[in-house]
Amino acid sequence: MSARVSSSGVAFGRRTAAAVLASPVLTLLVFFAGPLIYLTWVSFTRADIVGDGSFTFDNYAEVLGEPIYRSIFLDTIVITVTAMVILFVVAFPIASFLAFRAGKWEIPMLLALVLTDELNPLIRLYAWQIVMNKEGVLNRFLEAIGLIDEPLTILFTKTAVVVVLATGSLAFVVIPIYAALKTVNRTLIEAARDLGAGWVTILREVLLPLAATGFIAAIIIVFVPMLSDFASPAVVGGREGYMIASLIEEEFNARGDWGVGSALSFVVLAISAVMVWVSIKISKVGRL
Amino acid sequence: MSAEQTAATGGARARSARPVVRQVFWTIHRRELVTRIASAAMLAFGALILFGPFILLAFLSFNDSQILAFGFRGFTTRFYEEALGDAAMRESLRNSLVVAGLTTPICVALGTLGAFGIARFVFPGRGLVAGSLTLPLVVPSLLVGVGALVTFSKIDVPLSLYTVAVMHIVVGFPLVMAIVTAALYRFDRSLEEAALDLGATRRELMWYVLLPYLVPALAAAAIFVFGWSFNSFTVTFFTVGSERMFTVWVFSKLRRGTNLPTVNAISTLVTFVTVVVVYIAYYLLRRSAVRSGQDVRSLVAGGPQQ
Amino acid sequence: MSTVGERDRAEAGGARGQVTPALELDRVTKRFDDVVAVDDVSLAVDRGEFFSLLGPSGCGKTTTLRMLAGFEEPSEGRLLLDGVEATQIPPFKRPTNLVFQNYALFPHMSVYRNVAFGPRRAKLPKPEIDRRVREALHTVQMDALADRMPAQLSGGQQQRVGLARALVNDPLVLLLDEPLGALDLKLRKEMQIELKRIQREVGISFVYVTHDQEEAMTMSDRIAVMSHGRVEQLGTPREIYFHPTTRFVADFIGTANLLPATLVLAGERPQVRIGEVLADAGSIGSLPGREAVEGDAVSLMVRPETLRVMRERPEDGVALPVEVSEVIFQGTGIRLDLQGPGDAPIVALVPADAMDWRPGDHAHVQWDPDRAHVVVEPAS
Repeated sequence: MSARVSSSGVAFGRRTAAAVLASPVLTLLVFFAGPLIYLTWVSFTRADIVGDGSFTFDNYAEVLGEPIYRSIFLDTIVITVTAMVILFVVAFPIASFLAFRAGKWEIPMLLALVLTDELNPLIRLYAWQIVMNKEGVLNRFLEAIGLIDEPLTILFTKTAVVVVLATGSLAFVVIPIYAALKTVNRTLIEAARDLGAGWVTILREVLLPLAATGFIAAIIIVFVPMLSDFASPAVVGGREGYMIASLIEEEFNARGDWGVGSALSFVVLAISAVMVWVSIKISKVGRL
Repeated sequence: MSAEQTAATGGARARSARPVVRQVFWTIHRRELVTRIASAAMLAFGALILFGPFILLAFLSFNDSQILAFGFRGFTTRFYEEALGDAAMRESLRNSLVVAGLTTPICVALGTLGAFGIARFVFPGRGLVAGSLTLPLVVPSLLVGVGALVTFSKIDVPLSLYTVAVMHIVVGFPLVMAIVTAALYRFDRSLEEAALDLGATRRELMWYVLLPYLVPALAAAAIFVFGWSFNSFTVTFFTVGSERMFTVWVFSKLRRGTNLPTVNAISTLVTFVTVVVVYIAYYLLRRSAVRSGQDVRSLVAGGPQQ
Repeated sequence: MSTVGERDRAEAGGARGQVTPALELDRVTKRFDDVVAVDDVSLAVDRGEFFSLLGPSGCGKTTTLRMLAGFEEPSEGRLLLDGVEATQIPPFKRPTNLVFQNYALFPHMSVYRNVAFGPRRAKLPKPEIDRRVREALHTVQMDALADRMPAQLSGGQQQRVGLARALVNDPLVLLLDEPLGALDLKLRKEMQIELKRIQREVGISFVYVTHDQEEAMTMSDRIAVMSHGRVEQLGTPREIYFHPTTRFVADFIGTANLLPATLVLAGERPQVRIGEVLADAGSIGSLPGREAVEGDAVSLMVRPETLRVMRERPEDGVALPVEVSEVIFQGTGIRLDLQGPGDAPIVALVPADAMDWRPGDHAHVQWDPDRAHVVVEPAS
């Protein structure tokens, strides 16, 4: 049998493919798909008779119907979307600076960004709590330079959560956009300028469409995890910054209502899926 | 020409030019100057936002004061002694490190297998399998954690470090797979053909050409997944039961008080170790990448999208 | 249309006739979905021969080479190496080695280890490996740089290492895929001479793929000119240059002046009519299997350097009236772009110290009939 080197590299037999993929796929099925399937089942049962009981839509009815849930969902969307918008606005200039004008600082700065990912998120939350406290650093600083007369309540507000979410995910947004921008051929931009294109045109025609790919990646890597984040609201959100993830955690731990908890989780999943789909659509439009 | 030189010669030229021209000239240069200042400011602000809080923690950890105080009361390391003396804290650190250390090699193994299966074979349904194997990265971690919780409960498996490890593996190996797949796609096919042409069997090709090429990517993947596992919160929270793990331990402390000097101390310590490890890892990675002719940036920034 | 194949299989025994050719392609075809990349190609390469596959991009030469190496499998036909059927043999078992256009040196191995790769896979004893590697490096004059890494080498140096890495295995046939394509002109010309020298020294058959006809003419013992997957003509550089059988070959090699004509007499002393004029020719290259017939539309080929350009109409012999459109000084000579009867473009090369020509001048061209050649294909 000749070893045909196909476009995907040396092509082995189909049986080898199956052998190679067996363990990853099995792990996936047993420990990922399995629990999710069971969780779906749980979401269709009532809390008191978990596992035994009858199939019911009650959980979803409650979750989608009751206004309390709806307001929490709304709060969550507001917080996360605000954080994402801030992130994109801030990340794009940073990513383009990094991709085009950083020169010898490019790798150290990239390294610094990657470093922020590796730092423990709970430690970061803890630090921000200290900063935003009524007697905290930020207030002391603002008082000291005379901007305010009495301490602002930053902690335990929605704003606090937005700040924390945005600062925690900056690297994850900058890096995909940076990677996408890096694929631009320098000479392409020079050619565009030579033909009379101003910065705005170059931005619109060349850079933003490219950043679009990074945009989708950012949504998946950053936005979706935000919906799972109950640590941030717990530490700095308080009452006002209560998010859907906090509620889910409460349902599971404090209240033991697994049915509602799982139903809520799947609503979160649905929202995530919609957001990903929307972002793909938007980036396609942007590319036109 | 550097900006300084341009400014200098430009300045000389500007002074000798007519007033109108001079105005226009300085407007252009002012714009360049403004951009530079703006960039510097933006970067300074960014650095402050990203690293400021941690520096603050470091400061507080050495500050001899039980309560949150901005003024420096005196240098002390007693909080560090206290922290390291806390058995619960030590246990949580140890457990987190052990779980990360255990799950990393398994994730690398599974992830590499997956990457090879996707990148180097052609079979019907390949797209579907590839997509499925990246699902754990895309699905909200809440669902993964909560799903694990209910399932383990249903099948009467008590929550322990093992349940944590298992779930870390499930979400960790797609991460490795993404990095390694990207590296495999970047691999120069003509090197493969050269190896085959020179008499290497497919096995020898893997061992002598492909694997050495993959070493930087594998190392980067291992570092990423170790860090991910150590810092993991959501999934760990739901599967840890009564065991102690570091991130969850910090969370439980946070629910109690605002300024906990021992927490400051251990946080600073962990952060410091992280920084050191990341820098060492970077230098090692860079050396190995250069040795096999690759660009470090593609390892770092190359991920699912590249 | 397999007629080229038939004739070449007869010719394919090559210059040396009876000895088994090092390599033989027997009616090989390669299809990719509906595209036919290689169409019924037959050829044979002798031992110690420098053989070139020449043609424009997309003509199938690289695909043919890859089939020789074992990276593509023929859709039809057979491949024989040293007389033995090798069509199904995988690349790592074939006695062929490939020199790549992009060098394909293993970046994580030194020059020495790159070259030693083949012998190591063959499990030769260590001293033997070392001896061979040193010898190969010496042949390509890279002894001093044995410990360098590929990233530290220039393009030309990398190419030499690639060559050494292939040669060290003492292959039956060395396959070269446009190896000099990435080098600058001067280096390329130097390497051409180097390669030829090495080939003579080592005595291995080379199959060399290129689109550069000058390169092929300089280095080859025989050339197969390919177009659209078929071998248009197979022959020595002289044969191809002076007696092309098709318009494509005539045009592709050097500059050809193809004058539209009608065949008057076929045979040993062909004769054609151009307009009103009857011209003799020295040779006729018919498409094999299809004899030229009187009355056929053909082309009379005269190479630019064989034309004589003069102001006055010569008294005897065939001459064509022309008008000068461009005069280009080329260093070694002057190129005259002329317009002949019926606005046919004619290019002439005259010595640099020839008469002063200006665009717009009227002149006549004449040539030695023995050096004119009839191509049995219409001029356009």
